Amino acid sequence: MSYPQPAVSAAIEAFCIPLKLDITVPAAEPIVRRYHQVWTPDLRILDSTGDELYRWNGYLPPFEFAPQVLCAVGQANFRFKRFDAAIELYTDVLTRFPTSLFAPEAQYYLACSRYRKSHESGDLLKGWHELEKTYPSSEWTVKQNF
Amino acid sequence: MLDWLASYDDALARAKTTEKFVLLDFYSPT
Repeated sequence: MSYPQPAVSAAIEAFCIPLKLDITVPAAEPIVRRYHQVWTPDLRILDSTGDELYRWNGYLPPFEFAPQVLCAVGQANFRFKRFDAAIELYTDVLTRFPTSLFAPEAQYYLACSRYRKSHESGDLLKGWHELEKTYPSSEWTVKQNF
Repeated sequence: MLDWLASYDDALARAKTTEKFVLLDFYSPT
């Protein structure tokens, strides 16, 4: 279980209201239906209206869970155009978890967030070049090719 | 220790007042 680990609980506590729903309880059925939930572990990041902003399935060890939460919250902020917050979260992932599975995603969206904030294409290209250099075999490196 | 909520509506309401997001963990005890 990853939740008791300090890095994981700190990441959740700082940015999220944690909610556990037992899918076997009849009262959970409308929520299971709303989010088309079919497989556990299943985690979602929601805004205060219930809109889903990010999701993932599957177990993660603590070293991966913390950066996954930070990337998820980074994406939620990115989608709300809170680019400073997104930049801070993605930078944190790259600083503290540079070898995580989620570091390439952080590098990709760090570049996107900086570009959306500055409107300078150099910010995007510089960040994506860094992605290609540091994580050459990542799926995110494939996605930044154009 | 994390303060897990079990109520969807309470979690959304708390997210609104705190300006945080909700981390929803669907789980099955079996």
